[in-house]
Amino acid sequence: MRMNKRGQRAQVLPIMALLLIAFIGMLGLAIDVGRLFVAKTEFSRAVDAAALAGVVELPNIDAAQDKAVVYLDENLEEAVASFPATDEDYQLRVSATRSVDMFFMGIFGFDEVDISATATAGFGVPIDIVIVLDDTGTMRSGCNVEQTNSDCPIKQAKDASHAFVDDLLGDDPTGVLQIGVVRFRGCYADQRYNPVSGEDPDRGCVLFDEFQDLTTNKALLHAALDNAAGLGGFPGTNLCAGLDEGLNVVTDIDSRPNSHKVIVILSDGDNRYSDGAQNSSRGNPVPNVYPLPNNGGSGDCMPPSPDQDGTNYGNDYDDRIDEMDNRTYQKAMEIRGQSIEIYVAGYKVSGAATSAFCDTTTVTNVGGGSSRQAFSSPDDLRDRNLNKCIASSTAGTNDHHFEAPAPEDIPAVFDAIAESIAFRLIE
Amino acid sequence: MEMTLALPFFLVIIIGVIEVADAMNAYITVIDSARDGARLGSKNLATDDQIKNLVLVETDRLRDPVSLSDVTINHTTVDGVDAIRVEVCNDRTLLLDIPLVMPDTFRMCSETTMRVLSAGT
Repeated sequence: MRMNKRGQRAQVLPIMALLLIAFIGMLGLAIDVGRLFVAKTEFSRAVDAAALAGVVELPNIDAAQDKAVVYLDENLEEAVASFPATDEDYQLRVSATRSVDMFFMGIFGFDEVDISATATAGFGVPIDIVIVLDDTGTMRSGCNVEQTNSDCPIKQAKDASHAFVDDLLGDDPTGVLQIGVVRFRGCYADQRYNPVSGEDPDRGCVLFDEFQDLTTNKALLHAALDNAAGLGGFPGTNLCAGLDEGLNVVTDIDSRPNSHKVIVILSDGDNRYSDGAQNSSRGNPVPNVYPLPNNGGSGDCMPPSPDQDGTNYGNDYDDRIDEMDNRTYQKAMEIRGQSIEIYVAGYKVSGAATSAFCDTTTVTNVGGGSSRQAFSSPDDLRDRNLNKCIASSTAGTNDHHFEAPAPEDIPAVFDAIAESIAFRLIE
Repeated sequence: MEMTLALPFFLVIIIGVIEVADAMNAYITVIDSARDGARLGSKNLATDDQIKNLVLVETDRLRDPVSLSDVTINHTTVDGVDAIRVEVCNDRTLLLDIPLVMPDTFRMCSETTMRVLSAGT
């Protein structure tokens, strides 16, 4: 009995020794696998940062890769980046690998394990974008006859839009992204109204057939942009109608049901209503003028309140403008309600820029009387506020609202909007 | 008799494994929160306070929650463009406090740097 007991007890140590090996194996699994998880998490973080930093530089692929390398290194020093091909032009895929030393697993022959991570930034889903350009007289102010000088607003707006189209569509558009072009003044019609003597015959309403529907064809887009000349004049400025036609183009037959839809509107926020296109004293009205409700349209963008001063244009800075601002805001909310993003490029909204956010009380105030809008400086506060309210900024920010105080600033604003559209992680 | 000798040894190993695994789990949360904070900052959408708040919400599940002073936000320039650097630290107490074997608390930090887009105005 005694011998037997001693023999049993003596077996504990060898069993412990065997168990120890198993324990170290468990330790190895727990710690080394844990280390791998940590390394993988750190790694995907660094690769995300690299892809996002690079994608903004597209279509310049060299600059994009350089930026990605710098930001990968900034976050994780030992990683080596590679750039696998992407499905679409406007995407940057960053892949990186490194080996992780194993503490315990080395016992079982795993000295180091390679891990890798990949991130792609750019467009994940089809995107349909419509550029809505202010084509009123304001945009021609300061231009020479050929509209080629650098402080010519319409020249800068066109240059900015051309670059926007080139940057986003890339050299070889694959169809993931489509762009359309709409211009706005005070009205849309099938034909011009009769210009008064001395007026440019191209003045008047923007014609419906002057829209460029969504396309990947850069030549068509450039041609449509070149049509803009800031002729404007008599028919006023109807931001609401511009947004509404932008909505029509971005949701029409050429848009994709699964696409992310974006409207980029260049506007000074300064609505002015004119019923001149109906005015019989000028040999008008022309038929089928939008936004009038008498052409089958809803009249959403036409102020219903009576003209207070009895004039058609130039002095109509009255309750109608309050109505116009409110209707423009309602139209923007209708568009945003359909998950369509609106970016606003505010041009020459005079007065100092403020960091204030959209004030919905002001924009929906149609009280008139002493609070009615004036065309001069007090109105500018409302113009800027209107622009901020149109933009689909995240609450508490103005991230979809940009301002160009001078014509030369417009390209930088369009560039920032293009970056913002592209600055998304796909995977 | 041998069991009495070996048991503490095994216990230390087991406790060690649990502590390390628990700490790694927490560290992954810290890394992710720094990443998400930097990502929010990179879109130029949020104030520093909002970014810190996001980090606090994401790390709320930790046993020793991250406090405001543990989150450092740096607006800097990397390679000529605006960048944001978010560092999140966590002072961690151990699950089982065994005096003299391991330190009571240790501090782990993670830092993420991302490029920042031009701001809306």
